[in-house]
Amino acid sequence: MLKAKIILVAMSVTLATPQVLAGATPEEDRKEAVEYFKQMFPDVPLTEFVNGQYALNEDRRSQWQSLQDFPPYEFAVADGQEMFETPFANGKTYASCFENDGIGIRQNYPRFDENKKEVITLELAINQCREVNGEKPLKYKKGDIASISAYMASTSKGKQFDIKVPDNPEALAAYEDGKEFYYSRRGQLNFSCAGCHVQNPGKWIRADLLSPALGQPSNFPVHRSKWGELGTLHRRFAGCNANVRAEPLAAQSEEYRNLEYFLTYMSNGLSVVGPSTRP
Amino acid sequence: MASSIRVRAVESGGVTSLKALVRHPMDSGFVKDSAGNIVPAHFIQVLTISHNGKQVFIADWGPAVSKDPFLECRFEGAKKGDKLTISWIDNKGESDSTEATIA
Amino acid sequence: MMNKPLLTIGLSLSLWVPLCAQAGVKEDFQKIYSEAESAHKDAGNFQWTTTTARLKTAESAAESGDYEKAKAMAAEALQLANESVAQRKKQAEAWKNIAIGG
Repeated sequence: MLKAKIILVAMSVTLATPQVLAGATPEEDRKEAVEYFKQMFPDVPLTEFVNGQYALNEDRRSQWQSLQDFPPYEFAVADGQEMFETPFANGKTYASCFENDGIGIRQNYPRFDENKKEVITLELAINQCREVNGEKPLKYKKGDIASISAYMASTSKGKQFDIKVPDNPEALAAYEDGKEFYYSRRGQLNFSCAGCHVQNPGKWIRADLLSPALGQPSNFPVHRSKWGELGTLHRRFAGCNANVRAEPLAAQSEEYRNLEYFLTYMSNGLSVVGPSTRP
Repeated sequence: MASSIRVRAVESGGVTSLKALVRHPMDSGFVKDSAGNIVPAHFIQVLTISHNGKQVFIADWGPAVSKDPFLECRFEGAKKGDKLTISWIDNKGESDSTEATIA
Repeated sequence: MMNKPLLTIGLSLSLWVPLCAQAGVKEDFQKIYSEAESAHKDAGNFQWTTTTARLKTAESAAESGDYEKAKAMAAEALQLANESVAQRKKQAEAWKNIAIGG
């Protein structure tokens, strides 16, 4: 904790001058965050941050690697592919709603829709596709939505996240909103996301090892052993909020989408590794 | 229908390492669904691996094993190119079986 | 007889007083509960799960007629709700202190 504070103070001293003129841009935030985590974990290659706790603990990493021959989400991804390729009642498929037929596009989400003036996540886009084609929307935390999203993510494995925050007030506001959420303390236990994942990654919280914020969204949808199945990023947001006794918000609510927008932007340049497994 | 068993077996230095993922709900019979009704017990009871007609591995599973079990084991006495048979039978009398060649 | 009206008044009084006391607790509960509910709403995205749980406990105690418990639970809910509102207000500025990028 103290080391983190020292690093933060040192960072703000060295970077204070250029930022006096204007508020930090998303790109400046991201660069500062990368520097911060590099200093905190000098032995971890930047590309490894997407593996969260497995980049920080050898024992856990070896257990995780032994699972990779037959990851537990394999069946769900196969189901997801089947659902993705099966036409709707009207004959169209998901391919018709996405660029490049929906293959290899995970790294571009979330994106800011300049017409609707809101953040569009991949799961939201999947349901929008369903509704436009006369199908009922799926629930957002688990089940079919997670399988389809996992399949789509698997077609992007290895591609680098390329989230854009266009230079307009609404997009910047959405990004800032997500950033504010990330750093605000909440719940009766009064924790912010940053309290664990920026100030204390690499430490144990009961039997869990805290992962750093950098690269966190990269491995979603994720198969958590705890869930025994795939779950989406918003499912995890809700769970984490409940853990600190904060009322979870609705999956795909504006706040969670803005949070995902901010978090994923921070991971620009890092690879899509979803779906993946975690404890 | 696709097999419920995905398996990979590799031999090295006389020891064959086998990994398998088995698709099965492994319902314990103690869990209720959202309507409050018990989900009936449906789990693999025995899983066996045979080599040249001889059983090299027997697993007595049951309700304590969770969904889609992952299995890893090692045994001696087989060589590259040999065929293995992995089969299971569950409490409903359903079964599945697959063959794998040792790489 | 002269005593009958007195008796009636006496009887009515003796029945009315405990009913009134009970009605007092019920009214107290309702007042505190509605304050707690509105503070809980005021917390916006900063609502606590513990507040929600206390409100539920208060509601079910009231439904089963135990207004003393309902009132006590509502009072706890109100305190939790107020704390969550204070958190929301404080965090509106405090988050900037720990944010990378300020």
